[in-house]
Amino acid sequence: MNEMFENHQEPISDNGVWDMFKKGDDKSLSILLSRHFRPMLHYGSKFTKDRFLVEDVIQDLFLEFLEKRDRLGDPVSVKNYLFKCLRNNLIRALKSRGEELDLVEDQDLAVESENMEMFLIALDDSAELSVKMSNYFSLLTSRQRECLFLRYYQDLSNDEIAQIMGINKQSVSNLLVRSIAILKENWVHILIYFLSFTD
Amino acid sequence: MNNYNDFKSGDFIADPAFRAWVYGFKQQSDIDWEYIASQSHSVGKEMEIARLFLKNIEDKTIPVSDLYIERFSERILENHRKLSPSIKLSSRRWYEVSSRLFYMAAAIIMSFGIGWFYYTYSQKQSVNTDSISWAAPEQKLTSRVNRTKSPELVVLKDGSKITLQPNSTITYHEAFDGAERNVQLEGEAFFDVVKNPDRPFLVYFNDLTVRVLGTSFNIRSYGKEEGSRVTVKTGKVSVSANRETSPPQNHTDLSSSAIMLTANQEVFYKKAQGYFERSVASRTQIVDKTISENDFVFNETPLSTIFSKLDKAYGIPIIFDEQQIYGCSLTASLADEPLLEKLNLICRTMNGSYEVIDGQIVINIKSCRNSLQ
Repeated sequence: MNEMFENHQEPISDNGVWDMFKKGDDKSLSILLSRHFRPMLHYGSKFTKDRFLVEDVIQDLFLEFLEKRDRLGDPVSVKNYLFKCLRNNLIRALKSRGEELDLVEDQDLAVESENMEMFLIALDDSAELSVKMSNYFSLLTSRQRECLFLRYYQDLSNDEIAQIMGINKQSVSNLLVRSIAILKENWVHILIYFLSFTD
Repeated sequence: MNNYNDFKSGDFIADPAFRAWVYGFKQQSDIDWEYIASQSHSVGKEMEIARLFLKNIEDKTIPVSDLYIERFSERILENHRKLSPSIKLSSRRWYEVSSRLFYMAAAIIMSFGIGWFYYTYSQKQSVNTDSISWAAPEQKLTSRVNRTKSPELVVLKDGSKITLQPNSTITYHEAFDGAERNVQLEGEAFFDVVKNPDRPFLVYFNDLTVRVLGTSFNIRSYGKEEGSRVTVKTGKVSVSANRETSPPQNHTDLSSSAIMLTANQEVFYKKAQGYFERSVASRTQIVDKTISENDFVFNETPLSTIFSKLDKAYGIPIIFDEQQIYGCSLTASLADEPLLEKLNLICRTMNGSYEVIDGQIVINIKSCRNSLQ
């Protein structure tokens, strides 16, 4: 088995490694983790600050996989499957600890049609901008931040995000559009505030 | 090729190549983004907005070494093997089951045999086994084995307390009155040793020896695991590799493979490679009694003051560049978090990072001109 990994010219695809894992090869576990542990830890940190809880959930997840390795399915994308499992188990773990999770979609957020860029350009101090940008992100719901993370950092399609988050595709695009809209909305307020001081 | 000069921040955010550049996914970008930014002020501005937007999405990444992941993976396999065989039996074929049962039966018979062997030998008061070669003749050895599923407390004659984890064994002279306090460990235990500078306390396990005067620490050393871990709660601990199976005659002359640990530090010893890796314990606690968790509420406090306080409180050296963080200050409440979580929060706010190198913490914060105050 080892030779197969080491002498292979091209790195084995995720699905190839997954297959070997299912067939009982233990080395494949460390390959899966070397590829996906960091992204999973990063994704998990969107739900809790407790890094060790995320690690525990990842460990339990793979223990579960080991227990039923010969009965595992063949996911289209191993990474997306891992993300989905991590998300479900982590939310369950957090709920069992009695933590409040704001995972409910906010339906009542207005969608602004104006152009966010117009307002952004007006602020020309770059230091100010970075501070304000972080403040705006703190106003987003954790679900919106999660959605942005999957879309732009993990480079996933709306379809894939919908599967991981267990919502429909339309909800994903609503969440994304609103994440931009909420920014626009607040940029307006900030700009008004800013102008009233310079007068 | 796109015409980037017409791009707005939203277009940059939607551009996969731009994102890969911002997140540093590729070593080298095919597109010279800095050149594009320098071409026009307004495009540069759009790019900066897009970059900040994306950076906020990324948020913090937790630094993890390849070795850490490797060990994480090994731990999962180890735990998998430890799970009760009854779960696994269902998925095994009959001949695998029968061979397994054979080994289990053999193990039970052998342990009875060994028990009888020990019993008869201790009756004769002359113990001589390979693993406990420091046992002087005419001395009676006592073993405590924890076969339960919860930790057990063992109090030695000198008052030292040992919390023995499940499937672990300690062996020591029943009288416990020698010039040295010797204990042999197999498995995992937490030691709270009563201070006595005249009688050093030594723990032998795996291929290692821990030597202390009075302190508290944890040792995890299961024979089937690939290495041993020593975590220090209070005081100082010396860990050394045994060159011979028996401990060296002169304990004060520690070999060059000895390593010194202080509170909140831990060391992992990989048996096959024979090397020590010193790091910081994941569950830390304040060792300086003059400092309490409530002292970690900061209001416009200079960063250098905060780092010095953390250094003093946890006894872990924190290395930072005074010049780099000159003028940086922080308003935050960091009470009731472990040391590494406190550092995570600080570095996240300051857009910096830290590394744990050989039991010390190295801070990297570029400057705080652009961060939140």
